[in-house]
Amino acid sequence: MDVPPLIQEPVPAPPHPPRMSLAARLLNVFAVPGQVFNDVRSSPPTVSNWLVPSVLGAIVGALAAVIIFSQPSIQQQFQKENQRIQEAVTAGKLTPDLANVLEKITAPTSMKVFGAIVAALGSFAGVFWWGFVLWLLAHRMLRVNVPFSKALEVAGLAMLVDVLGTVVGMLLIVHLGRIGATPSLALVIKDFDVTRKGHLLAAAANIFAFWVVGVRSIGLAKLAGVPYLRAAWLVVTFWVIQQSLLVVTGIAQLAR
Amino acid sequence: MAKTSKRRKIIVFSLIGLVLAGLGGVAFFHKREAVVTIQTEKVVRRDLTEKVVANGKIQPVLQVKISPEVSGEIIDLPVKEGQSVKKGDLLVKIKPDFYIAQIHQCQAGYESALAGKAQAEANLEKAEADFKRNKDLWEHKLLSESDYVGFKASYDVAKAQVDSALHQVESAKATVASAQDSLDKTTIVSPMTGTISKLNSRLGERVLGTVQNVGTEIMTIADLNEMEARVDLGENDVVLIAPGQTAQLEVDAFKDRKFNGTVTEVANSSNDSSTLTSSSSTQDATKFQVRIRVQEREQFKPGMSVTAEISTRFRTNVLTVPIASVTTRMPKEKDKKDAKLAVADSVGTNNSNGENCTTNCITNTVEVAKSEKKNKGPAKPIEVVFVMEGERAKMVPVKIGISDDNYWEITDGLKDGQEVISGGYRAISRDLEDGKKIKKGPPPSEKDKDKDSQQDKKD
Repeated sequence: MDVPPLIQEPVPAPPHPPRMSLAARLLNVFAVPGQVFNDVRSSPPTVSNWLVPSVLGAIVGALAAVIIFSQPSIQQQFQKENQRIQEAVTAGKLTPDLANVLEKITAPTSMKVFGAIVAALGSFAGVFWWGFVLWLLAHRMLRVNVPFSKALEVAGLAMLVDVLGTVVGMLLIVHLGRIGATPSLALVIKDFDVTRKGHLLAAAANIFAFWVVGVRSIGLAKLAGVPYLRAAWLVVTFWVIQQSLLVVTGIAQLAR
Repeated sequence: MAKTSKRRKIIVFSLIGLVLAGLGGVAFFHKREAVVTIQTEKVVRRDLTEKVVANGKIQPVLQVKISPEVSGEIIDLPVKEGQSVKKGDLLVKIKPDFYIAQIHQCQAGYESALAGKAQAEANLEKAEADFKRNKDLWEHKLLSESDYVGFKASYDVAKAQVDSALHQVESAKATVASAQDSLDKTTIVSPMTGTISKLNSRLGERVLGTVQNVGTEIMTIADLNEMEARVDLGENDVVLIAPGQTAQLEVDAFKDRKFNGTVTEVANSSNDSSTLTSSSSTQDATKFQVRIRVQEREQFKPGMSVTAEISTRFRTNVLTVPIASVTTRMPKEKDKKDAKLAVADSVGTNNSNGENCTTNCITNTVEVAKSEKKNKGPAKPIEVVFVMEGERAKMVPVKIGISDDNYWEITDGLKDGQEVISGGYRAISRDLEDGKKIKKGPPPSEKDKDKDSQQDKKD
């Protein structure tokens, strides 16, 4: 008599780690981004993952703009920057139209208003832009189908590092009284000059920029299920090209 | 794994917290001030000459305008503009026909008056003889009283007629003299040796005499050897000017040359005081004319433009600062309070003799009230200089004396050798305040100065 084969009881799946709360995700992205992005990958799409960091970035960016541009020492430096812009126009490095736009922007009140608006909009634009970049890199370079909403969530959460960078940068600028006093190589440049591309490149070499690129790389690696170094190579390469283009085209000068 | 993760979180958040707390604390307690870039100069002793600058015209000291006293046609004009003439030279001859006829007429009138006089004298002789003869008759009662009075009256009338005729002769004689004078005035000769500086009339023109009218200004004669500058000064400056002060004159026509001059006359009335009405000339500044005799002889032409620098006051070895260093600021609250306390103290001192102060106290209270009222009035800006003290600017109220083109005399507030801020313009006029952080730097370029002045205008 054949003994019917024993029906193996299905092996119980390993217990799924409990989902992180929004607050936990927002905080843990600084210390354990890998865990946060694992949680994002395994969770259903959550709008708050990108919306809350974007709103937070907009508020912090706007406040930082108002505080920075209220500093007398910074306003004084902008007057000097205006002179340099004029010199750049005379030297043919800048077009008069662009110089006019820059001069209008650098008036004290308009600097605060314009800076706050740009910072607020830039926060949302940055999240969407990097969400798109990560999605594109995953699709085209890694050949992995990653939903755009997930890429957006990764970009949103990584944005929190940028928010922290904004706060630190603002405190440095207020303390040192120099517009170039961000946590970057520009910190060691005494007479920061927005018209000099070398100075702008130094400003791009920002600790928080490196940090956020690292976090985005982790996010891309987790979403696409590829090794970290492969994802990091793509993200870093893209970031370097992007920064170089910004500096070369002069858009970084406007952003400063 | 969880333990590692927890440790990592603690480290990262501690680091973030530390950085934020540290930077936040430092930024809060040590806000970066705006640093004003300045230039400095030392307070040094110099000799100063205060100068008043005025513009005007070169004019001859002696200048005569020639106008005829009689009207008529010019029949002779033997001079040209720029010609030199001597005293007594013929300048103009006016057609004399009318005046000759007038003399003839007056002459006839004179002779008629003489005839009238002779007739009156003859009448008097007859009346006198009649009167004397009839007087004897009347005294012998051979003539009535009424006839006697009639002869006497005839005699008196004849005497009066002689007097009248005499006066008529004199009048006619004067008329002849007047006509002769008018005739003489048809010939005009130069009243002085000089140059015809201006010739307005031509041969054949009819000119008006000055007897009844303003008269035609035929020409101007001037002594071009003695020239003076007639410059206009504002009422604030004219009080500093006195005859005898020296001046340096720059005549536009003689570039790179300076002429010496001496103030000879200062007008007592303003240029427009004679024509000024309550409503007119309200926008024109009141000007006084000052005459400066030019010491050098040169080919000056009347009417040339001149700029005069009149040396009004002179100080030797006085403390000076650059003109740009002195500016005005509103007095500090502390200064105002100190001034108030000083007044109160002085009033209190007057009252501190311990006597019964019923009357004194009332008086003093009134004085304090008055001084308080004075202090409550709108504060006036005071003259100050910013002194460099290390990395800070110190505002020092000063008393100023005279100034020249570059320096102010400081009579109180500064010491020899102190370093005062002398630039830039915007820093001194607007940006600098007491205690403000400063750093020495190069002076701004002309372009920056233009920008600053434009910004000031906007503000």
